[in-house]
Amino acid sequence: MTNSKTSSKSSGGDNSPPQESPNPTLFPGQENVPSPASESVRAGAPASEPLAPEVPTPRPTAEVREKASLSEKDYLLKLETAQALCSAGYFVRMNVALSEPLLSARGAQKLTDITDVDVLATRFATDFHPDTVCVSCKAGSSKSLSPIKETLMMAGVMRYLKAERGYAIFADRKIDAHMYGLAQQLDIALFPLEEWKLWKGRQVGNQPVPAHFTADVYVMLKEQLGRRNDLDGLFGYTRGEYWYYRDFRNIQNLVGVTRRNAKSLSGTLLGRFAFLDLLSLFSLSVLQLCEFVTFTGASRLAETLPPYLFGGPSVYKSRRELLRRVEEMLRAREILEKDQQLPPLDPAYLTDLAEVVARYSQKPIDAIRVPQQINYLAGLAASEATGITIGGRDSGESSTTEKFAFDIATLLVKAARVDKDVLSLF
Amino acid sequence: MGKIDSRHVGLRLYELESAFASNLDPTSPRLRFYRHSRLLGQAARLCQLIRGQDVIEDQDRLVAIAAAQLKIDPMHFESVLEVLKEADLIEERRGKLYEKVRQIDFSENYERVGDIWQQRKKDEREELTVYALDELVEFPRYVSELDSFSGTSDTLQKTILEVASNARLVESLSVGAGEPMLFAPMLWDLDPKRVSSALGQLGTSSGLKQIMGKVQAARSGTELSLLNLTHHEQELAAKAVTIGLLPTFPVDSVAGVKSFTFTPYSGALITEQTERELLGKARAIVSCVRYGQQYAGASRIRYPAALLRALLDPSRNYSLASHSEAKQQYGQLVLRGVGRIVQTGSWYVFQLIPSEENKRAVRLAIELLNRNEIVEERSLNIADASQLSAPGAIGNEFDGISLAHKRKRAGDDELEDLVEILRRG
Repeated sequence: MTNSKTSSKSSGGDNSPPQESPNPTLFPGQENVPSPASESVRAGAPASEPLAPEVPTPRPTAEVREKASLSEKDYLLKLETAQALCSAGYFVRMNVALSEPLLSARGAQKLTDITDVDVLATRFATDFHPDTVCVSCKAGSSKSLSPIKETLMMAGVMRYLKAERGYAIFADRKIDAHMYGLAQQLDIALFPLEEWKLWKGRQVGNQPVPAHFTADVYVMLKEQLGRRNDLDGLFGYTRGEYWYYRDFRNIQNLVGVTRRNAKSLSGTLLGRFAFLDLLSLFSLSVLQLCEFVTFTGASRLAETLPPYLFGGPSVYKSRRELLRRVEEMLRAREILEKDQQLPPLDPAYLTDLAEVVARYSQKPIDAIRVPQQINYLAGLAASEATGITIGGRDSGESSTTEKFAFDIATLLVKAARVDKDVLSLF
Repeated sequence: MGKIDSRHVGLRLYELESAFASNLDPTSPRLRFYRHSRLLGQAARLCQLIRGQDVIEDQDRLVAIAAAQLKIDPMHFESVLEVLKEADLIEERRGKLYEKVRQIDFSENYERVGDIWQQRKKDEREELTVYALDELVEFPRYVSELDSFSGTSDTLQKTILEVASNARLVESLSVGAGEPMLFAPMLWDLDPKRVSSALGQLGTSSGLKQIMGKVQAARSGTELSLLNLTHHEQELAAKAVTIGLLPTFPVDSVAGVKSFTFTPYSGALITEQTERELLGKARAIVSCVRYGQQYAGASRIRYPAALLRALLDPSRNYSLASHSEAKQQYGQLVLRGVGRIVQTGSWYVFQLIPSEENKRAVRLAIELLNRNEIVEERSLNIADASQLSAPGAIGNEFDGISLAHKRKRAGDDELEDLVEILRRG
């Protein structure tokens, strides 16, 4: 978790980069062995795609690694935490910014961040209720890095994101004994390095880790994305704005953002990664909608879905009324001909969305794994884009989960008018 | 001949193929005129069969089920799949079939199939059959009243009506002097107003009063067994079956072939013609349960509605208690995609596949039982019953019509009396 005053690029610790090695580890003295999570990354043939990787380099150079560590000090700590949570079955994202929207449009440099979450992990119960975990990763040893301040800030962030648990990792900073109890009362666990290692070992499960959470792919991907200015706005949205609107608005907003960036999403492997990244967030919003439907009655889906998209029945009703008045006014001024009609208020993809929600609601066990499935595919896309082969096509999810991921991808492609080539990984 | 709505076309294709598959020899030369309609009708039926399955990993099994349940020739199965792909109702991905049949707007499935039919270059005969059927489903008419037949030759009309009659898709009834009136058997279900107005077309005399009185009594709570009817009454009942007034489903299990008759559905759980398949599924469930109630060899079902409610109970894992005959008794429901059989030792458990569609079908089945919309369990006692109810199939309405035709037809005057009874009802 990063304080805005220090900018999102600062880790709050000292500025020495982690030790470089061909197979980077986090800190001096740490055993250079593959993490259990890394082991669960499945080997397999790379997908054959007509599109070439963005760069021919198979592995990031030392220079690229150094650049990465300069811009993001704690990235290895975050990656290994992300890997552990992925393998435990969570849908995971790194560097989630909590900031005002719009200002975040051009990425981290222009943020007026409140703060950010280093690792955010979510998984859903079969009634679609989310279980969210926030993790703060601090690699530095600076005295300005205060575990108690971090704990209190994190407690606020967790409340904001409705997270039930938090972990704050201080790899090189002493934590006073009395702080553990205080943090625990706020549902936050404070981890020094050794404790974090033990925790990480306990988290490891059977789920594969998406390739973009492995160090080489992560670094290369970041490097390549840095050169794609056309995707800045899109990643600004997924990093910040999406998390600002954590409700019904994200469905319509996300479709709109995808539509505006449709051209940038097709034709390149990075574009495909960006699409899957957007899609994974879209799936979170659809599962949120499924929770609403589950609680308001799946049999009432057809009547509850349209108002949901507009924030509730009263807003929906007033919008319809507004539309009617606008139409009336346009007719009165003869701007609208007799045989012309304004487009309906409901978005054109409403029926397709209802179909997806109906299917998800009928098979929640398979539906709740869709974000993880899409994240895995995003990893494959990242792997292909960087030319670093990690993982096969098999995510280990059920056939129905794979199909549900395809369903929602088809929905977004159709709703946002994206080229169908982005579906090639499904 | 004006164009008709694609949704109507899709529905008519579904019915046409159901009737053809039940009652006509698939290699009949006359069917060569109906290639497009049959193929698309098969697609409409198959899409109903797979609805809610999401992923079909074993295509070979689907071919077998489609052959057994829908009588789709495995040789043409690929063509049927191609139609469904064209209609965007399935998609093949990495060797698996992804089912995309619409669940919310059920009728859109028919519309998509209907659209494809409209775009294809068809034989005039199949086109006229679909159009005429669409008119008859709305209302019984004389041949001369069919708009779709206007300007066509007598020979053409005769050919079409012959095929449709042989398939039991259309029934002709003499209603006094002059030309006979044409009925479509699926006219009656789901729309009580239409039933009464259609029946109003016929005159009144005497004959079927008794049998329909008994039918009405059964609907108000009295059990009715047509086995207790006189020979003459049974003939009248058979006539009611042939014109679709008493939809009849044969079931073949441990005690041989028995058939189960229903009154036209007039409940509130479904109202759309496009959901008739759901009604068929519910009737198949009721037939199976009634079979277990009346004819099971080991232990008979005592509380059929309670049994169906158990199927809806998630705490029981949507399952019935294990039973030695469950495999045979409910095997047909497995083919219809309603449930699965799980072996426990030497016994078997029937478990509902808890899709929304299946849960609706079970709720509808409970309603049919509670409203006494099933009126009969009877032995067919006809020589070729086993042929009609070959293992692997609960028959559909058209099978029932075919069976009823084996009986002597009732007089038209008696039919008119049936009208009178229903008018009062």
